[in-house]
Amino acid sequence: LFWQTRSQDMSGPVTEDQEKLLDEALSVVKLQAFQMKRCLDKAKLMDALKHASNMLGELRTSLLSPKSYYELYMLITDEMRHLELYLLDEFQKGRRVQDLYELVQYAGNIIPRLYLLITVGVVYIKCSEISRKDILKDLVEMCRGVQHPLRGLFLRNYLLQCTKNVLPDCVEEEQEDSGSVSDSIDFVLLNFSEMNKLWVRMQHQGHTRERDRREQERRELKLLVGTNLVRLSQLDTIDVQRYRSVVLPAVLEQVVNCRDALSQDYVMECIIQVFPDEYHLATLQDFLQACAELNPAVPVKNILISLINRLSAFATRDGSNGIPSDIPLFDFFSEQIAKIIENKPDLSPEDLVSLQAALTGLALGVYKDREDYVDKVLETTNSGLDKLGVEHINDHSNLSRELMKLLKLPIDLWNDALVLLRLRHYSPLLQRLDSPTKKSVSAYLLQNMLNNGTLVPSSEQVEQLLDLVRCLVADPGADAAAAAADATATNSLGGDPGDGSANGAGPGSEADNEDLAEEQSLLGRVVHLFSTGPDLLDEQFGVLKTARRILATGGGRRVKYTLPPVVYQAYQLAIRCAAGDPLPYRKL
Amino acid sequence: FFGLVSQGAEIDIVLDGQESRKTAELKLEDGRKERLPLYYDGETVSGKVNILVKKSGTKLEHQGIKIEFVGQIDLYFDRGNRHEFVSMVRELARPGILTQGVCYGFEFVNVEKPYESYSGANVRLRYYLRVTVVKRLSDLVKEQDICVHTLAQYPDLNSSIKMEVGIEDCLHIEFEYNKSKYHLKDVIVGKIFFLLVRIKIRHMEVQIIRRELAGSGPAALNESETLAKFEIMDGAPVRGESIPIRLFLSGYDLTPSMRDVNKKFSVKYYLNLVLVDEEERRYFKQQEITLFRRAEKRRRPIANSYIEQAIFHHRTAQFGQQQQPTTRAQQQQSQATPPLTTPEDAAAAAISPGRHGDANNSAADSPELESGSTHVSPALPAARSAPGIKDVLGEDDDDNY
Repeated sequence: LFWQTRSQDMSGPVTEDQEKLLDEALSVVKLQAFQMKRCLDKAKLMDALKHASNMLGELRTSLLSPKSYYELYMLITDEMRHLELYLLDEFQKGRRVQDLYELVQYAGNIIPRLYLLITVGVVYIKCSEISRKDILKDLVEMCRGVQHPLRGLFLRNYLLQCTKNVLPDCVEEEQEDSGSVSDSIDFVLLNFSEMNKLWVRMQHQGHTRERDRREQERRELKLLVGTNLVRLSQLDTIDVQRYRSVVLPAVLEQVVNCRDALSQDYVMECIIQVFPDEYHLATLQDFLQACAELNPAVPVKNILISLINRLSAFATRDGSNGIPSDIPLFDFFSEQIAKIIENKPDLSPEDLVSLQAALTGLALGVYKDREDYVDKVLETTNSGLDKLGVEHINDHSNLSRELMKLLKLPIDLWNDALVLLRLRHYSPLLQRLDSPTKKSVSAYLLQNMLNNGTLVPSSEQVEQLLDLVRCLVADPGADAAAAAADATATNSLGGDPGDGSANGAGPGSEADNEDLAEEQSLLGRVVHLFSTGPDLLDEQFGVLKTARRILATGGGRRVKYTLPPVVYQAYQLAIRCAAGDPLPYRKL
Repeated sequence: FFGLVSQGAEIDIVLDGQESRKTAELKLEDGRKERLPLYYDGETVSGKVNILVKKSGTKLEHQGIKIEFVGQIDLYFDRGNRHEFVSMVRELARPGILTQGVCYGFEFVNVEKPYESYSGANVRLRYYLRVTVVKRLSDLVKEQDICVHTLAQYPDLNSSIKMEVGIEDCLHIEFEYNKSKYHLKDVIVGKIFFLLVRIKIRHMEVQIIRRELAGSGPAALNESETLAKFEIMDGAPVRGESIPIRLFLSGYDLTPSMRDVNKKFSVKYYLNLVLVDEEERRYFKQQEITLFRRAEKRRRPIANSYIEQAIFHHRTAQFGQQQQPTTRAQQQQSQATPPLTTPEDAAAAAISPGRHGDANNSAADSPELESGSTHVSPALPAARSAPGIKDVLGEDDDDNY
């Protein structure tokens, strides 16, 4: 649940030591817990507290790894539940223990003292609304005494967990000093800042050679910090107003000022996931502004993409009202992404493309009829790639993959190739890809047209389409290579596998021929979609003429697949002409 | 306690009202603890003396029976000399013969008891009743100790202790304790603010140290005892951290401060702030405080008064801004806040780190600083470069460990 399995375990002896240390600690805990419960059964509270203190003393250790410490902490806090229940019971029966809040503060060591104080403080709160505000404030302030990052994080986590159901969640104080949601917000925000400080501090302790391990350990603990934000999101009285004016500014201030990449990355992501989408819509500018101020090592694009995707999903969900018209969402993100690109000269091309893909997704999802948005994104992508000096895109590269994803989005979300033809920047982007990928995307488009029965009703559009998928229409380079390979194959007895031609995947090979057949028959089937409206026979003839002209450039290997459909269509046309009456328009 | 049985008489002293009188514990010389009836200055000490002749029929001839009330100081290393500062005597019986049990009443009316009972490392101050049956050869003597507590009023002037101390380029802290005079059930509230941290601190604690100075001149003995070790911080802070202190004195076995009692001994208390770094080096700053005994207060009937007390003490530790008193308790306390001093006074206080033991000795001497102020006196930078400052936060004073 809590711990992600580590891909790389610690070295042998270290793990063994940890196991031994943990086992020793756990057995002390079990013994002390047993004694504590026995004393509680006999109503000997002071003795029980002594055993509780001994048990909590195990949490003072510096020898355990975070993972082991967590296990120890879980066992101990489970046992502390017994103490809490006992005290609650006593208090509710009217057997209030005088000065208990003071008594537990006599403990000489700070860790047991504060765990006990939190436990007792929460009992006091649960038994009386009076002074709730004071107690909460006191608890969160007194925790300052633990400056050790690991111990401090767990202590403050204990504070959060114990106070889960007692944080005031009302606009106005109901009784004197019972507190309002403002006090809860202050409480949690303070706890969050202190925890973030401690968490960041872990980065700088210890040897530089152990940096990777420290970072891994920090990642394991991130949930402790995030729980503060979850707690804020659970306060019902926080409305979008309060979120915008109080909560978010404080969180962003802490995040930006800490300058720590790991923290920033996690917390920004956490904010997106934990708070409702309406809140994000209302605070976009503040959030995006903060994104721009993050440590350069933070992969801001991931954060942005997360946010964009979330908002897209929100807008397109069933029953959603969509994006309020006064929020120019697309412009916001467009600007922000532009800013990021500008401020990050080392932004990789694939990151650029994935950002643009997210933006495209937004445009297609939320602003379906704004073709210009999509075209704009494509234009920006193109110029971005130019600026980055991208010339050749290797077929198996990340960039190729990202670009392919981007190009498929409009195909999938519009299901109308004709719109694509109107986008001025789609084709240039497509043509950047390497041949196999380019063909793959082109084929994808054609298949989409077939699935949707997208008719191409004008000669002009036929030309545009065939130009778009020109890599499928004709490939003089590949043809020449195939011819050469054939020649070599026929010249050498038994076939020379040297250049991988005969049975391999090279030009002219069997596999290559299979691929070609597939491609071209696809293209051929699309020819059947070249169909103007029912009465426009002249136009239909024009369409077929254009098709024949362009497809012929495919050369011998291709026309055997692509020309027959044209001929067939021509026959159809002839029949219709001869009949004089227009045949009922039939969808093929 | 059973009286001397030799020579056939048992002497027993019974104090009036013993069943209802409060008691207090005092340590005996051998370390054992004794529970004794508690008296205050000006209270009458009265009761009965029962003398029982052991073997009925025997005659006990005596030259007189008397009872004395004595207050005395014993210096353990100077047994020969007893310093009696209170000595009163009452004659119980003229010379005569006792044949059976007899009971005499006694009364020391409104007897003065100027000092508090004290049982320490090298000195003891005790009050006792002594019954003497004077005989020709050897007297029969019976003693009964009582315990005396002295009460003090809450002082009019009770300034906070605030100081910036450190080691050049290494560690600068500002510590603050809310008062310089605490009663025995008080709470020490304060904070430590880190101005500069270049060492790796492992933890920080506050200790309460009692220093007993017994005797005077070359023979005087100084004995230190650490009565409390209270951890206030776990882990390494960074610049700008503020660590709260809340130390309840009721948890410890303390006595009031005693200043030059009958010119024979003193008992002083110090708060010792100790920081320990990762290499086990210790840095400390000692600060004298005055402890006094206050009359028992009746608890306020408000249900959450104990919380209020505990939390209020912490609230007043939010230094840096003048807090508006919001609870009655705070209002009462703030009336004791002394006014701002002149820059000259502040300068005098700033240079005093070199004489850290004496600086806060008594309200009359030390200048008063406004509680909650963070003003740094203009003289402080000069003080920092003075050689004294490096000694102030010393390393490993063997005195205390």
